[in-house]
Amino acid sequence: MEAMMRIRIESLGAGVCAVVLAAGCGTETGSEAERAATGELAVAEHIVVEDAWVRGAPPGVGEDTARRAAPARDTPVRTNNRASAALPAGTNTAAYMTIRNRSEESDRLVSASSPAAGAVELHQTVEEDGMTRMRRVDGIDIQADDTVRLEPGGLHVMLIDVSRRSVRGDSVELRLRFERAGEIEIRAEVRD
Amino acid sequence: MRMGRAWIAVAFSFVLTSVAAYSLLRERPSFHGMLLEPPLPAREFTLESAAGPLGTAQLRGSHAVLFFGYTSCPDVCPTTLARLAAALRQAGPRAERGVRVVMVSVDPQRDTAARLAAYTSAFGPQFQGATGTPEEIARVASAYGVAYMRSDVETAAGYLVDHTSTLVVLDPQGRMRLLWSPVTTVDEMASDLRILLGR
Repeated sequence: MEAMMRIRIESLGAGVCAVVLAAGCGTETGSEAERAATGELAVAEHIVVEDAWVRGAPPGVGEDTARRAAPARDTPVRTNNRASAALPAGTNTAAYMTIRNRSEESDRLVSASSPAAGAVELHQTVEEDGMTRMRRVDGIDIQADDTVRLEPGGLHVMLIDVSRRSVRGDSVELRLRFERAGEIEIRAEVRD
Repeated sequence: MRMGRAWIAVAFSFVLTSVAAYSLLRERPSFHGMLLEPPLPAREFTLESAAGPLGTAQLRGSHAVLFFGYTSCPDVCPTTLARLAAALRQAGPRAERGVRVVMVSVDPQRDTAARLAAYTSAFGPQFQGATGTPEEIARVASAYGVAYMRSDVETAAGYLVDHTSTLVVLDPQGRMRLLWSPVTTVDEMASDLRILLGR
């Protein structure tokens, strides 16, 4: 019975979320120029980079530790307003994004750099013989009229020796160099 | 009138079927990870954490998740730990409070106990790091079926370490109970945790 109740409460919560999402979607259908102005996407020539983010895991949770150590109650709808996620100076992390090529010819991401990191490399995580391995890649091809996703556990832009401390909500400047489109500057949001 | 009765019958049988399906699902929970039945005795070990010795003796009494990784790892390790943290939150207060997570370093050369503590605590208060001598780490890893090796990829990060990303869940008696592959989702881990902890 208690479980039944929870399911009902949860589905109620889901309904509320759906409404909020729908409202969110409404604002998202802005023009490309509007989205570019907010840094949500970067366009250069035929290349569109969207949803760029950097994993901001360690360190220091501070006040958050206390809150999380003693969660109030089992609330089915959780707010996720934690203020953790910070990039400490001197760590490695990864940036992820979606790259779209809207031209008739393929292009290739050949390198990346960032004022926030000592070095930036293109890598791919692969599962091989039961092991998780990282491979360095020379470039990432984006075929004509195609989209490539850089995501956790796959292709990623590796930021080495992050020199500046940044927290969740901050953004990290990244310069992507494409074979044909040239250099594109993007801002990747720091997320958990 | 007859139509009305038919509808009541349909509705009634629908409710019955739903209740039956629900109780069936409830009584036969299925794990997404690989359940070890019976639990497998795990090898005892003691490593070092910033807070002192950390090993099977310290973990006894709680469910614990072991992950083998390293702090210079940019992609898979933080992703796995962040997903595990999300699964613990999603599984509810019992999991969030009762389950401990230990990241055993496969890079004892660079990972000091202090560095590991700073790294792991970012994911939650129940996350801890453990390290030891290269020989000790090698013994613990092989006892839990984990392989690792220094990668020959040239990188400005110095070196990378390839490693098994399986998560090992220990029961409160310190036995291996469940294995999660690195592709197990947050929802799946949360569901497994709820079953393990008895809802």
